[in-house]
Amino acid sequence: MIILLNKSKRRGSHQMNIDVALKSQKAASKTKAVRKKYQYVAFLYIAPWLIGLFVFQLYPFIASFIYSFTDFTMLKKPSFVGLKNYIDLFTKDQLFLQSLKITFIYVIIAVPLKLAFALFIAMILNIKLRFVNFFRTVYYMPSILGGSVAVAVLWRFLFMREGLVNKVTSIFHIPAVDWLGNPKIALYTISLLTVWQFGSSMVLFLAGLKNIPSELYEAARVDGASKPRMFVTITLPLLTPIVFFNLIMQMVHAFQEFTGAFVVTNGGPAKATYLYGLMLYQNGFQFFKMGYASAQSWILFAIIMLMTMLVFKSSEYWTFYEDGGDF
Amino acid sequence: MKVRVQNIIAYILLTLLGIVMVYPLLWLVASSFKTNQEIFATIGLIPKKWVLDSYAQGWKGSGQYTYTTFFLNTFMLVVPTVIASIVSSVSVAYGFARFKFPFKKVLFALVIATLMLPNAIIIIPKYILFKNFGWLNTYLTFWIPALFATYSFFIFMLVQFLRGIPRELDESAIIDGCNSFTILIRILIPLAKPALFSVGIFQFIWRWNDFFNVLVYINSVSKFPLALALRMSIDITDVVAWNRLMAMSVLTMVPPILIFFFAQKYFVEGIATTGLKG
Amino acid sequence: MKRAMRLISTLCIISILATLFIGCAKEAPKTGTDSTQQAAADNKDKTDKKDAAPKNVTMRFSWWGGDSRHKATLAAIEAYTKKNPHVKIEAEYGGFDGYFQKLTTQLAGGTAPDIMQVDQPWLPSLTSQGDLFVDINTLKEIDLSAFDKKFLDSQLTIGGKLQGLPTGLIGITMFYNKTAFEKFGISADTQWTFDNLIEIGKQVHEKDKNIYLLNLDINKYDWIMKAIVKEKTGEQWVKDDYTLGFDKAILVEGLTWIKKAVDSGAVQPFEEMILYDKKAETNPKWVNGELLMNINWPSSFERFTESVANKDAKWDVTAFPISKDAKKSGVITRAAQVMCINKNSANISEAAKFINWMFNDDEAILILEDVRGVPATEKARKMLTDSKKLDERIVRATEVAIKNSGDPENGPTNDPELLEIDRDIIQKVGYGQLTPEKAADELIQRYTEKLAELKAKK
Repeated sequence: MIILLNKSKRRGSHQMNIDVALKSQKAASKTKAVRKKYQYVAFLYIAPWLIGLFVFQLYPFIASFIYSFTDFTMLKKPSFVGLKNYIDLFTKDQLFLQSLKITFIYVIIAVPLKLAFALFIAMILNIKLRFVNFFRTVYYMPSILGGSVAVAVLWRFLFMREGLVNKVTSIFHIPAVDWLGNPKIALYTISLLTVWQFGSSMVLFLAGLKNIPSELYEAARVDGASKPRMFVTITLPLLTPIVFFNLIMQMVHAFQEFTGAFVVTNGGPAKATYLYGLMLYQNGFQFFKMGYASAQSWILFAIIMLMTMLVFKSSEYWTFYEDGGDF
Repeated sequence: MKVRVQNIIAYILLTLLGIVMVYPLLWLVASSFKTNQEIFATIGLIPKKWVLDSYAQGWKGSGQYTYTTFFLNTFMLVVPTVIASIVSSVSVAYGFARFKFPFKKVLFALVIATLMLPNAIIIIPKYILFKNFGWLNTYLTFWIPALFATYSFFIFMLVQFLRGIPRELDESAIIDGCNSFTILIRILIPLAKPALFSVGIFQFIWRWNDFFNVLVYINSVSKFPLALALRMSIDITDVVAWNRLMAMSVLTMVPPILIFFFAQKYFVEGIATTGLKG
Repeated sequence: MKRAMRLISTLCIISILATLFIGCAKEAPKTGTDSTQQAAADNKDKTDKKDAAPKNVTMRFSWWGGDSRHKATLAAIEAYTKKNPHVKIEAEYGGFDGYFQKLTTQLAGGTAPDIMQVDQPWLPSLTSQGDLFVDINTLKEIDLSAFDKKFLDSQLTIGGKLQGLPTGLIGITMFYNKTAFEKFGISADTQWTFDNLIEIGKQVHEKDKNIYLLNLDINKYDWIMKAIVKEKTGEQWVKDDYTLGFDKAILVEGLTWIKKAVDSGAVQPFEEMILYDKKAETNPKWVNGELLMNINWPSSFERFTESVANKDAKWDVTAFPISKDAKKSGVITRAAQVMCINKNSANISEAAKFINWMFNDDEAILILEDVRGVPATEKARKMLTDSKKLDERIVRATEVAIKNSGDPENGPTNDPELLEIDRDIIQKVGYGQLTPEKAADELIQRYTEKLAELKAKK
């Protein structure tokens, strides 16, 4: 953000108004924030969560951690096996690294595409148009459908050999493709399903866009700034907290993705869409290997944690908070 | 003039993409009027042979209860959960977003960490916990955790939004004699309306569609929500009346769509229209 | 430094609290089961003293199924509770999706129902984890005379205990589109072999490129592959001592069948079939009558024929292939589902009485008809045939399958992890990623590793 602001400052004086507006806000809150001391009243506000954490969340959390060092099978009494589960995963289980690889590919494709698409549509839906309420609802609908039976059936219709997608591409003389049946392609098709259900990211972007004070745009308009410039210098910087949130959440979610691949391809063909979440579910609930699955989920936990920390660290350079960045 | 051209492009784009978005729903509605064979044989919308009684037949359900019961159950389960989630999350988010207190970073890291462990793994210990509380087969398994803000997603989300609201507003309110609670109620909640409505909508739709948790915690058919009722007659050997199932799926989607349609205007009424200066 | 201290102290507090929670949670289920066991014992005492008036009991009964099964079972429960007003039965029913996951969660949490419908393939893995179900042989309330003792012993007795009772019998059969067969000049009397399935399939596909003889999904390929191997070896697929029941050469023959079937056009290419794996009746080609034959349990007959668009098509059943020189038949027969009584139930005796009524009482038989497959008892079969409640073709298919049946599959063969390896290898051959030889190597290598692991667990 700072970089963006500086750049724009160098480019021309007509940006000054906005920059000053933003900067003065930031500076003001920062000086006051520094003076602040601990405010213990905060514990009153976070009390529900604190209680909830200790009563509902910590025990399952720690229990699963302990299970990961046992041969827990749900019904049998668990016995301690040390690091065996973790060692087996890395040395014996051929599916483990494969599903990890698939999952990374999936995350790298699906998350950026989904966010870009969601932001793009949110920008359009933020224009004052007629029937915009209707359009917003229409665009949210795929997300309401979720992982229902209807989605599974329909997705097969769209992407089967004689399906709609191939019919459309054949107009352009593109040969028919087995979108879901070909092991080399199925993962991308499943990623597309995720992108298609972009509704919740879109909603958050819309809410974020509405949070941007219109004064800033008015000031920019007075200065004669172009639309793309306003997007780069106002919209995007002020939307960064939401971009950040969406990125983290979609990433966390994508690493755990289960539903789409489960209802449409069930991990197939030939394990091409055997995402980590699917493997975990299978080990835990089909093979009863809860201890093993717990170890697997703690590895996933560590990976997600690492990725999230990277995004958090990097966010210091690109997110902008109206509260002065004081947290 | 320029605006008009821009709008026309936007309309065309929205309509084209919109067809892709809404086609599944149209297909779902269409298939509720088709025969079983046609549902799986063709992707077209207009049924060759109309089946008109699928809604009436489907509503009767299978066995003892009709969809009246399942709809009421779902509302009973979802509405208190949504309200509890909004209230508790906004309070917790406020605590994190606006105050400085010991261990804040550690605790916030914990908020986010709880999102990262797959649900499938913690479901057994959670089940045993709820069993010991004596809550199994009741909606308390959903209401109480919501009341204690265990949906970390919403806390994180609201923190992000609250941080987008300038602190000057709080500070001027303090000068006006507000305490921390009245700041939240009078200043921040009205400003964060778009975000609060997002929480409500998300929680509503997610709880409404949730299958795995209700499957595990609810036993009695008399307490089944829609997600379970819809799958109730799908067996691997029995003939399934897919058109009835599709009909009930369509009806199941109506409340979330209505909720979204009517709540979305609150995204529009963000700061932009209420005005920052107040 | 200060920060680090703070962090450490927080972690300490958290871990102390956590151990507290774990402490009580670990304790509680134990006392829970203790008390139910206690109650079970008490109850037994009471029923033993015959003079005691019947005490009011409430039992839970869970099953999965479709509409017809739900309706019939609820009607049966109503009829029973009318006759036995002191009994209340809470029905917990739903679809097949998630039933197994829910059941295992309940068993793990000590909250499983008194009476449970269980699928036979689940039994070996469930019972290997603990003593979950009451040994039916020990219950004097249940009259077993109507059941085929050999079947109970070979299929449902694990560890010397009869784990439950079969709701019905099913055996692999083939059903075909008679009308289409006539069109293609395939005789209805064809004695099917694994070879002529491919030959005739090839001819059909050559006549019409849109048509394939067989509608198979991965599970069915598995049946065929194993049947070919079993015919040659006369052994279980995996022996009881967790060693392989076949060698590479024979396995290659089984896998080659898959490759031949795909290459000859007797089956749809894997790229197209895979979309309908485990839901082959929704394959548009099947619905449109472009797949002529299906291999399945007889209980799926109606579901598959009903989903075909052409209502005029005639259907019939025929026997699953057996070679003349087969050492053992590859036809699998098993219980449709199994009714089990929870070992921790507080009402074992009452549950047993209800089950006895369900299986042996005339009224119950007529209410329940064939909603859980063709009944397992001779008496029920006769009653339903006499009253024309059973489809003649399904009865015929079941009888043929039972007559041709090979040995029942043992527990190790049906281990879910091994089945998953099969599915993997079958796809690799079907997609042409591996030759049958290479695939056989991979299967044997992966099986050997997994079997060592499974054996160690025992």
